[in-house]
Amino acid sequence: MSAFLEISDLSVAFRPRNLAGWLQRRAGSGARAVNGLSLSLERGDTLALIGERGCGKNRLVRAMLRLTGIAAGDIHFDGQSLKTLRGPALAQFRRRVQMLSPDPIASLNPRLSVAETLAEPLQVHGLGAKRDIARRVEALMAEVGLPADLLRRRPAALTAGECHRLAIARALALEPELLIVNDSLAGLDLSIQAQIINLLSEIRHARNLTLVYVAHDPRDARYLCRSAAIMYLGRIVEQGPIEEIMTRPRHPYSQALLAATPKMRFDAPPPTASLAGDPPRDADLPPGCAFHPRCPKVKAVCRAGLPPVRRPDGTVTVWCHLYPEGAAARQ
Amino acid sequence: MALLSVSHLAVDFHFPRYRIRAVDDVSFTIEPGEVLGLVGESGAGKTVACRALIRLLPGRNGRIASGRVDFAGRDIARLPEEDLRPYRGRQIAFMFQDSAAQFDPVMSVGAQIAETIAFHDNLDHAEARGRAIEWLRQVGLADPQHQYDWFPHQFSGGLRQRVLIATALAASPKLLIADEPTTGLDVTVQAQILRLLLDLRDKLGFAIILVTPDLGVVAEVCDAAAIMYAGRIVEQAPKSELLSRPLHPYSEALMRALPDKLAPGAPLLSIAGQAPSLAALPRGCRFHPRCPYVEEACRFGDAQLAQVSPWRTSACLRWQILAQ
Repeated sequence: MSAFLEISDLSVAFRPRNLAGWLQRRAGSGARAVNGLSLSLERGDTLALIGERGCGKNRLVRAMLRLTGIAAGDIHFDGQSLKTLRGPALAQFRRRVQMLSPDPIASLNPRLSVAETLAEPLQVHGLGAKRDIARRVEALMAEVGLPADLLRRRPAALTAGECHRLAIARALALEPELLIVNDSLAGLDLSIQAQIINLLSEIRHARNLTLVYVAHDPRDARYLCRSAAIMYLGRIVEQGPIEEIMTRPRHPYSQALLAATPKMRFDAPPPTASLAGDPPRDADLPPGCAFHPRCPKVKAVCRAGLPPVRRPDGTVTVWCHLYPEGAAARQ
Repeated sequence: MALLSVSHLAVDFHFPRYRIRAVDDVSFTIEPGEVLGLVGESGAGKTVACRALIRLLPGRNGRIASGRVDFAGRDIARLPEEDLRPYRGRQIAFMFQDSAAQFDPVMSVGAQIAETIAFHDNLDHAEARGRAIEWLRQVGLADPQHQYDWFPHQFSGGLRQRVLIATALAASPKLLIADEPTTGLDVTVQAQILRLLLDLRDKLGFAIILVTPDLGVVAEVCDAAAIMYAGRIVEQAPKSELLSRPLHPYSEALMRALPDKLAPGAPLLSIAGQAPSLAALPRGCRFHPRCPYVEEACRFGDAQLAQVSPWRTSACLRWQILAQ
């Protein structure tokens, strides 16, 4: 049996900015935001997809939601290829996969009341009669911890935390099986962020959701996810159990990323610029390993060929030339 | 002697029918060359407190209601605008939030720095240009001669932040107020910018007030930190003491909200509720409705910032409980 979500050798083009871009994309020669990426998730898995700006995580998410075309490769959701989804099957898919947007507050329609916001997806998908919808809206409110007296308010009258809870409730309205949290908590204050993380964790357990948690900062993901994938320039460079990656990253990029992440300890060392400069522009990806121009441990072989898949000690998968086949991890 | 000493600073915003006190009874000090972190959640008054120091309050309805701002031995809170000018930008430089919005989009960044230098130091065009290029080199631009003529949109977020640092430091200030200089940057770029600020501080000796919502940044960069909540400072302490033993329940809660280590599956210790609106502050200690250590006195007594050790202040009436 195939996995719940199977991404195989996926490439996704950038959104074209002009006519030349459109023509390039049609000819299949334009720059790729996601470049030959494979990933597989079982039902109930929790995966953190961590990468900095421009690593392609957003295009990957859009492809997973079938909001953008696939340039090469394929995505299978519960055995069905997203490429062939049409009509009722597509509507069904839309119910089963939901996303929490990067700016949940802005994603709320300012003219709809809380009750209307939650009823809208149910109405769009033709689920339930009027009285039935009202009951489900109340249940959703309770599930995300919103008091029922907010039902007639509009988003402008809610606090940031309440808006987040509302956006979560709306995503849950269609009873999805896969929830993608797309860097949604970044702008939240710390104390509210902790509340929302706890809420997501409870909901995930209660509903046995499969969770993809996209983040640019590695810190908050570890409370929600069991595994993590680190992305750099359209590819995954390291994947495995999240605690392993957080405490002992293998790939030079993950090492640099985690070294740069502030640690809240009284004896934290001063910041080190573990990586210089910015990643290269997507239009001129370096040959070989895409990370090699910034890699502190670069070798000749890194410039030549794509990095091989290695499992240095059997727990974490690394796409890197530094680890010889079958050898133990080097620290 | 402290470089900057703020005492009992209060800032009001006036509206036709009411006023809102955004910053209330804020006191802190900063020594020459020190990096002070000003930590708090949005709406805590960090930005307003900083902008009040040089009276660049947003809008036209903000006023300093009371308090002193002693900078290098002189109270600048009451100086007339004219006399404040030598301080503003020259002795006290400011990096505002959102670097992209700070630059004129139709003027090359080099010319913008040169303009600052020419204004402060009365230099002619060629000299100012030379100094601007030197500053671009100091902040780590690869090709300053050439990049002098670039426009803001040609820079990445990290480079733009570097240029903003160059602009702020061009007048050789004694104090740099950096308002969330790394918010919105990726963590690797954030580390570069923080490293650069520390290196320049070591070289040039200016003090920094670093406004940030991130205690992790404080842990890595600052010498001391002041924590703000609902318009007040609730605690100021040297960094290591603050992080190893916070003496205010709010700082403690912030530290526990996203800990480095956590047993798998255990919920995060979140602070229930949310910060109060400045228009409807609770009586007594402003944190008491969310505080796990609350007792009767907290609901009514005024929790003033008090000296609890030679180096630390706390506004908690029950700080001894946390000290144990």
